[in-house]
Amino acid sequence: MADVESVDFLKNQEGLNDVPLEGEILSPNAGTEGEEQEFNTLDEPVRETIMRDLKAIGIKFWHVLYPKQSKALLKEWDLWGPLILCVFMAIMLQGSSPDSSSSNTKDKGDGGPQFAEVFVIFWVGAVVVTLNTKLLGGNISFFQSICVLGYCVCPLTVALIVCRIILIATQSTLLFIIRFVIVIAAFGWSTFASTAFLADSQPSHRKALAIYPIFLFYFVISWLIISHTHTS
Amino acid sequence: MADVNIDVENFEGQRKVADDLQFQDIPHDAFVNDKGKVQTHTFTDFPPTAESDEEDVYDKTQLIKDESKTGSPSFWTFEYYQQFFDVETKQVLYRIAGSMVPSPRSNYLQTTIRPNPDLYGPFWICTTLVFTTAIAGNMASYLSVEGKDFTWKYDFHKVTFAATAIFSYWWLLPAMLFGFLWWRGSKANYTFLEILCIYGYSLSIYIPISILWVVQFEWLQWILVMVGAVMSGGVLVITLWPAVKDDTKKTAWIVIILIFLCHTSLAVGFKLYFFNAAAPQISTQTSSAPVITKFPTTPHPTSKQQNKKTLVAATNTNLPKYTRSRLKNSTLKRNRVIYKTTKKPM
Repeated sequence: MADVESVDFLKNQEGLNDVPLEGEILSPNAGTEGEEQEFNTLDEPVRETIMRDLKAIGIKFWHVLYPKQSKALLKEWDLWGPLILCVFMAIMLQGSSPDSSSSNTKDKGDGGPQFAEVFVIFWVGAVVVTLNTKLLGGNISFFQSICVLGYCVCPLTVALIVCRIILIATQSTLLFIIRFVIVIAAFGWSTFASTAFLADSQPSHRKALAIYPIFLFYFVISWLIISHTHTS
Repeated sequence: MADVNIDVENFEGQRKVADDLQFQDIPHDAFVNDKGKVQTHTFTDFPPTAESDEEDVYDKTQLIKDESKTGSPSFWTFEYYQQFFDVETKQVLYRIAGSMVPSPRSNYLQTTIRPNPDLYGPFWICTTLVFTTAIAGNMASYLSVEGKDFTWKYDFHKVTFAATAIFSYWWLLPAMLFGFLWWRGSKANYTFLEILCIYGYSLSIYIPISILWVVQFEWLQWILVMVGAVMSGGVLVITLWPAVKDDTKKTAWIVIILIFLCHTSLAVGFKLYFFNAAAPQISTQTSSAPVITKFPTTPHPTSKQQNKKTLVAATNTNLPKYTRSRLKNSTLKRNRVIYKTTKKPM
């Protein structure tokens, strides 16, 4: 009886073992990418890795440009977007340095900030605003907040590009007013987008205290953009 | 046998804590020996759902644990700094409003700042003031040269200068004042944080004033200087008077006058440095102003002195005599450096 049972058991075992054993033993590296993707990114082509990161950055930019209450920016933060924006803005906004060798007093630079100054204002500003939010008791993590603040500079960068294009034409008061309006609109957009993401992390009696530094941060960046009139 | 006896004792003890307490009081010497006493100790480790009679003992041990934890957080933790930001929007607004309007009857410190001095208000007021002064200064110089021949160039380095000046005023003067009060043994016991708070909020009146300074009427600008200095200086003086009034009369008055003078010279210094291109003959000078204000070497001025010397060259040297003599008496070192260099022939 034990033999019969064991034989039956063995038969059942073979039948049971056939299917899963095939799956596990035969193909560790075959195209089961759908299941193995999270664990096997070393084997994928580099292009895929880069595209995945670029896609994440692009999605975040999209969320900033059309801000609605979504957690995508917050959950997976990255600092690529802010870095790209900051470097781009600092390159565009830097004034030319004066030429110390020439004695001609007319061409001594245009008083704009140096690259390093814009860079420092951007990052130190973001850090200070984030520290302020955290000190007031916000429940958002440090890098998440910097990520949001950096990505929300995107509308202001768009405004900078537009202003630069406008600056190609000879200047007049009307064009200045147009530039001014564009920068103000971008400033409002940036502040609105960032408050949509960050405001919920504060208790309600301190919301204004947390939003004011964000407002000031974007205001300073807007002022840098609108003061930039150098056209060389 | 003995164990059975002891168990019975404990069993009774579990029901009647009063007996247990008396048991604990009487035979202290037998504490270690008697297993029963050791048993009663374990009572206190029971969770709070134990009988209500035991809550006293349980609470006492909890208190002992809590006392060691409720000391103020260490200087190196984040929570230490969070206690300085424990304000609400309304409180900050009240404090700003209170710092602008001197009222002799109520002490601003007592009513609005104690017991909760904060650093949020002063820090962001100073930062805002830095940027409004720099921006308004640029706008003022733009408006003053509008219509002239050359193109206006904006001066970003006003920001760095303004930041240095304002933040050092906000920190150095309270430090000096606190040191002085501590040295003289002032009875009012103002902490350093409270003095920082008072000074920070007293700068808040200069924010709207710096925006109004853009309007290019010299008399209006000077009136604004006076109004701002008097009002916020008044609040400062009234608030700080209780700290020095116990001292000798001479010292007290000297300190008060110095405080007021420093505050006023800050305002005057801002006005003269940032907003000084009103007169039309400046146009020839301001055409060289952007030239001189640029640093040929490093992006950041390496020292405050170099900053002032070169930047001051751009300011109006046609100071009316009375301000020059008044500023000679100013005790603020910063101004001394500025106006010394303007004595050189330009």
